Amino acid sequence: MDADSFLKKHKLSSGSKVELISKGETFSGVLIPSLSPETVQLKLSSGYNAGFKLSEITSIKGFGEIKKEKTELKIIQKKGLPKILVLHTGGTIASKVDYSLGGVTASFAPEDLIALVPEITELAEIEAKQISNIMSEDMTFNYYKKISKELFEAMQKKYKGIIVAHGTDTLAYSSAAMSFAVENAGMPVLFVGSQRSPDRPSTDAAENLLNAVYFISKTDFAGIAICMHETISDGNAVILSGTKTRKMHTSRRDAFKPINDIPIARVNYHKNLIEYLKNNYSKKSNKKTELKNKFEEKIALMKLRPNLLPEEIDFYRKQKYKGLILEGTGMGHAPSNVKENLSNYEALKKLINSGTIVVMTSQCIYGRVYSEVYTNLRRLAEIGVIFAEDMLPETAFIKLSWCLGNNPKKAKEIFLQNIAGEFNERTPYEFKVE
Amino acid sequence: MEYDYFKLGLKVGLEVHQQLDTGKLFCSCPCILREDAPNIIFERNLRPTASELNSIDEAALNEFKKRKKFIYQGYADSTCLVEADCEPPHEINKLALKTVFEVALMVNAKIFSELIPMRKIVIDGSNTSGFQRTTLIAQNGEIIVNGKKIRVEAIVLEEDASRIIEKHPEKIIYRLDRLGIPLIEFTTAPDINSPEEAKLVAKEIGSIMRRTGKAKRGLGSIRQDLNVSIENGARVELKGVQDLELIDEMVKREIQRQIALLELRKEMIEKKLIKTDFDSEIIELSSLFNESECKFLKEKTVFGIKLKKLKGLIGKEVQPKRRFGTELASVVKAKTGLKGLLHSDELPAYGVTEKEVKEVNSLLECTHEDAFIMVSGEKETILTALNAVIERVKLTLDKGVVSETRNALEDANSEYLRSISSSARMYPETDLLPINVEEKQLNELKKNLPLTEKQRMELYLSEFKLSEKLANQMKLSNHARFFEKKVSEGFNATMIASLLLDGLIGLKRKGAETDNISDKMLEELFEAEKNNLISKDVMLDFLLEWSKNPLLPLNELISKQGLNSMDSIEAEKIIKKIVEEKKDLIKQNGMRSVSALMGEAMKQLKGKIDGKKINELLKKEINEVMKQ
Repeated sequence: MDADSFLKKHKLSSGSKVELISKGETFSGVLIPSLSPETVQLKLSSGYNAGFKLSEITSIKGFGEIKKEKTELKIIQKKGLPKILVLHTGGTIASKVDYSLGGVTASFAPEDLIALVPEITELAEIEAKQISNIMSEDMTFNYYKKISKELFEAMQKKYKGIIVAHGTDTLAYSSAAMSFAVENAGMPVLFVGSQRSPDRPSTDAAENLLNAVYFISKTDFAGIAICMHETISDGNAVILSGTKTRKMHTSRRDAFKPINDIPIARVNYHKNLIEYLKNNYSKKSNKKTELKNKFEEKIALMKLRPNLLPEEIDFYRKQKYKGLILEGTGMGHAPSNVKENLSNYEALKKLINSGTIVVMTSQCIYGRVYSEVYTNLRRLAEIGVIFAEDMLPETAFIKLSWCLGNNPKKAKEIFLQNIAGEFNERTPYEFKVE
Repeated sequence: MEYDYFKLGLKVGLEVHQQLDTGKLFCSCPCILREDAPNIIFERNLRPTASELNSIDEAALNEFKKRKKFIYQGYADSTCLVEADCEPPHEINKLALKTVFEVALMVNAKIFSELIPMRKIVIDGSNTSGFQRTTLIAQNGEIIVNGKKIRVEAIVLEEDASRIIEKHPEKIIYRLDRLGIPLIEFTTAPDINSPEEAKLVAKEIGSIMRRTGKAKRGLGSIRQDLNVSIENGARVELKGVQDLELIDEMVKREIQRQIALLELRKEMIEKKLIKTDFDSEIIELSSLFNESECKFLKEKTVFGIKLKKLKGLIGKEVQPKRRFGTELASVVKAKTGLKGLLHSDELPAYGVTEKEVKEVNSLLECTHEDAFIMVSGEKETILTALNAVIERVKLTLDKGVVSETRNALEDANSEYLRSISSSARMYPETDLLPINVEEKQLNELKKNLPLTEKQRMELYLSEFKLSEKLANQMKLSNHARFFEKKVSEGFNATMIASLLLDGLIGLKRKGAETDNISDKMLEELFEAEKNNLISKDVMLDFLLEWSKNPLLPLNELISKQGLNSMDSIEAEKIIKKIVEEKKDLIKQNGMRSVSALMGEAMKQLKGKIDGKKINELLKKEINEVMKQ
């Protein structure tokens, strides 16, 4: 018998007050949702949880249910402040702890957001809307459609700006997708995530949100960007380009780094500081905001590495993929030159001849790919591999999908145009390797 | 003063926190406290989580904005991203877990079959995450002290907090070296009925911890909290008693305090005082002190209140050199950060003249029976402070003794710290899985539990043939289990015991940080000796250096010292040969021949070993020859 049927048999469920006897000792507490099928778990009166093996429980009795702790948060928002819309997509940033049963759940209510950072009520009037509840690794292009539509519609209203609360894993993919899908954004849109969950008092979500709200309420920037910690200290956040930013650490607060780029601005709410680091950041223009939110699904991103076999490349041809982003080695190399690897070269040639657009980026992440420096690079250019300058592989992936989705006939041509600051003509010294 | 504890209804419970020297609980950093300059610094703001708040209004928002900033100091080589709350916890430290199981088994406590690491919310900054990771291991054990059974309520394994380096009004500076050191929290039921018994129980618990061989030593490595109550008094928690010898005195002082407060209450009732008598108006007195000699009041914002019919009582002694006024001052200090207050029972003094006292009395409309309190500072803070005083006086009238948490002071007195926190906010650590406890593992541990002191004595005397003196010392040593292991491996018991006892004491005199010497280090050192990497006679020298720099791997230390003992043994041979050849010279000139032979020895050994060492070896060999 597993824990669920055991509890069912005794007409108990999480929240039930129980007394049980295990190995001759009596314990009382509240049943909490158990994590393993062989044990039931109690929250004891000390506040601690402990687990009891089903096989060791000789008796269990229920004494009713605990009253659910319900605290209604009263918040009075000041009127007359700039309005900011918060779009929730899910992710760590939406987690909230429930002490009565001790679980961490997702929460999207504006009250919970404000409870996390009450200071924002002095800066802006917050509206919140949930559009999905997924961890960001589960994002699909369908969600991009949804988010971009929400952004587009909100831009027709009188918001000062929009915050998109998003899981951090694929946050930069989404910000890139929105950078392409919403053309001429008329207001600041900041993607905000959380590396350390908001159920903890040390969460970075609070400072990221606070700085995002502060920046939006003061800035003349218009466009899609990311707002996250600058260092592992609280205080400074950086506003980063939607297309040239990458999550570079699994757990640090300052995981998001500009790649082949510098931050747009540095923000610190506590110091009333906004420091623009880019002179030519995009501002609101008279151009009409347009929504181009189709994304081609048959597109792949492939890391090239030693001992690559041609079957892998052939797979994309046989499955009729429309686009393939290669994350090449170094300046954009592929294992395709010596005798053992010639079959890879042939496979790539066949793939391109079949009509698939093949783009080269670099797994170095920092720097640019070149089609002419070495013979080996020239050979790839000869068969029609497109070299994507200093574009991030992930951004190239999103961009190619967007090009193929919205204008399949001119996809290649559009891919080579700079649409949302995704590549640079120059590589200045200030583009750091961090 | 002697009390009849039985009549008083004295009940004492202990909560002992023992640090373990097993490596940190949730990362692979060492358990070392450091005084050298930290090279990592970062800053954080902690905030109550959304679930903690009920309403957000102007006042709450103001509180929010006044929160302290926390600065953390770390070390690149001994603290990591886990302490910085920039990385999830690693799997729980197996050795620490084994040690706490041993402690639980030694006191017959029942270990849960599934352990669930919890997060206990703490937002004073001492934990970078804003919570302390804590796991309930076992309940319902017992220890026997002087034939009496004392129940053990709970045994918990948790992580220690960061230490405070500096405290400022706007920020606190913490050091991360202590954060994450495993702590065993050992809580007894309030079964203790005398101060002396409290001390004995604390000693017994300390001895249980030490017997595992994994208890960390040194200042602050064991901390006791006492729960003390008498009948009609209240349960008071005395936090952070570091000196075991003070425990009985602490209990006595708390009894004294509770009795004094109950007497005070009685006197207040006899004076027919009721709570509303203390709803006195808070009145500004600043203008009286413009020209004052008192530096606390001169040109400051000063407010005061009348305390009806309390003249003489504010000065009542509650503990040696602590008056009821001091109690009020410590509440003010804890709640506002102000340094203190002035009360009428201590005036005129501190530059306040009799004339000024009269003026205050008249402004506050005090009669000869009334007392007053004055506070200076910023207006808002003063109001909070004086309201806290009124609140406290009312509570004293109501209850006599208030149930609260108090800070243990070094002189065995105590001061108000905070009200006893209601049940802690806890939820499961979502980054860790529950820990399954196998019965088989516990049975294994049961078979190899640390010996009791009595068992050790028997073993050391009858089997190991230690002298009574050595056996007595060894049975109490933190290294006793290591000692037993080495003897079972065939080492000479007296040799090992002397090394671990006299050897280490000698080292401490030479400036070694012997608290840093772990069994693991000793084990490595013995291993190195076995493999001829160092010689026996330099083992202690290595320990001296290593204890000062325990982060250094042993092989690095060996090469750094430049007296890799392979060289040393080799050198000894060469020197022996030189000495042998010049035997006659030595017999003639005695120790004076050292300088003569030094040149030859240096020529042969130069660069391989340092000169000082050559000199030492030479002297030793010459001595040998002279003895012949």
